[in-house]
Amino acid sequence: MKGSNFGYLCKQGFKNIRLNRVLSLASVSILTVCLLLVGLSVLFSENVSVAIGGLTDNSLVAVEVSDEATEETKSALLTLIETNDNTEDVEYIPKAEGLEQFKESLSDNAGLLDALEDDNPLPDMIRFQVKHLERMPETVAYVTSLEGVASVQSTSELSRALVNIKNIVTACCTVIVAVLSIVSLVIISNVIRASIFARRKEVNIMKFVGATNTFIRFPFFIEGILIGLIAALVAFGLTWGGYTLLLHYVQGGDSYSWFVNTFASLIPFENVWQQIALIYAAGGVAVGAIGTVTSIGSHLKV
Amino acid sequence: MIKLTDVSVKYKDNGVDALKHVNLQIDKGEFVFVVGPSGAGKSTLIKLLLREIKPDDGEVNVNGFSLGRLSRRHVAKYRRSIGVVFQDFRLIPSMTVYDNVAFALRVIDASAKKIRARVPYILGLVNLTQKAKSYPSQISGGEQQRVALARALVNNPSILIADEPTGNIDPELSIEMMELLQAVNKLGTTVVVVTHEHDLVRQFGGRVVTIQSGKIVFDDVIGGSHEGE
Repeated sequence: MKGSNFGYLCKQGFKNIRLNRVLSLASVSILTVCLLLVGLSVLFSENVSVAIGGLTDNSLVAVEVSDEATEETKSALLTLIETNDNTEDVEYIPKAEGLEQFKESLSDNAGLLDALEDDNPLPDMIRFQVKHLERMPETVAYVTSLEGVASVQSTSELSRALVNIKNIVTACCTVIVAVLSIVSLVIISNVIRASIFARRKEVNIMKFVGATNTFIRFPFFIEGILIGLIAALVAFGLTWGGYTLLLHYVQGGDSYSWFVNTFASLIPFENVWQQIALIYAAGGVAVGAIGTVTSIGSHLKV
Repeated sequence: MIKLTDVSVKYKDNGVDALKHVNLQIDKGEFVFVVGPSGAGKSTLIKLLLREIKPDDGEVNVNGFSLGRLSRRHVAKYRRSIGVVFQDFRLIPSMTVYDNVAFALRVIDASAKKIRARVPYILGLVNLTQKAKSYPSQISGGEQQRVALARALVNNPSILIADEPTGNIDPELSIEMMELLQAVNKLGTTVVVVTHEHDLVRQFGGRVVTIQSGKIVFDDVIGGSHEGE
């Protein structure tokens, strides 16, 4: 294809949108709604992940070291915990330090513990955090089985529940995105099919003049991509505006609703705009282009 | 140039034998009228020549292309070698007169320079230079048919097929259109005019092929009364 023809066919694509503005507007509107729903699902899923991640940051595992454990056993235990692939920020707290920390937590009433300094009843402790929450039960079981461990305190049940929620939300969002992608593809295909049907005579004439299928398809293809890009742009603008308003509401601090408390730390839009823009642009262009190419086929058999 | 050998076409949906063992040869540079009543098989002949349908039996050979064996992807190439004028003009309504004519050059990947040179020349030949920027809806039926003729000629086709070219225009303009087709023929293009207007055929004369009930019942040269310019 010569450059001049390429330019001509692109121009025809733009012209088609202008000439069929009602159908083009319908396509853009439908695709915008679908993209918005996809974008909102992604944003919701991301925020749930971050919110749950935030909750789990505080879920430490505390290991009570047995009184009978020798210094060698304690050292070996610390090494084994430190070298486990799911632990981080491992901290050994001897009983004396534990008492100091306890005193600090009591602040003004710290004097009450003075009597315990000679006969400290607290055990030596090892505290750590797990890297992957979903593997917490496995890690706790491992640590419990180690020599020199008296007991292990963790939030395994809570962690498991949170991980389950996160997985369910992610799965639901994935299903929503997949279903919406198919729905938008079907709708856009039909809208473009209607647009092509309205111009079937033109397509017919083009065939009789000797135009190849590629030559006929190209302007429709450009039209589909443009519709996708316009829808992506509109959806991005709406998401940006809507999300910014939501952030303003949440961070305003004048509300104490369940929602506000749960999502008090919404991801800033600056952190997700590239991901959203990419999803919208790729989704819009793909649906527009595939919808066009699959719709025109039957009209080319002349 | 055009050769039909023992060609038969039967429409499967209604079982009608549209063409029955037709043999026809049209040589380079000829001007041929194909006439016949409605339902005689004229449209089927046009569909065959445009490779809209394939023959059920026999062989259709045009410009070296065997149309029965032509693959779908070679159809476009074949259609570029012929020019076609339809009764209903078949102009693209969203394109200007200029663009309608230029379109036939664009599909063959002609350069912008060639398009700029060739289109005004052809529009001049059919006397439509002043209407280049008009849309089909803004010009008369006769002018639309001349645009269709210009589009058919712009690629310099060796064969021009005109399907009822005067069917939708006034009698005076019909004479003008026929004169234009004769002029094209004099430049060396083979012209096949399918029509049911016997008066026009008698007026212009030449080789006349009559189809009736799917068979060629007459094929001869007749004298005409029209005096060319």
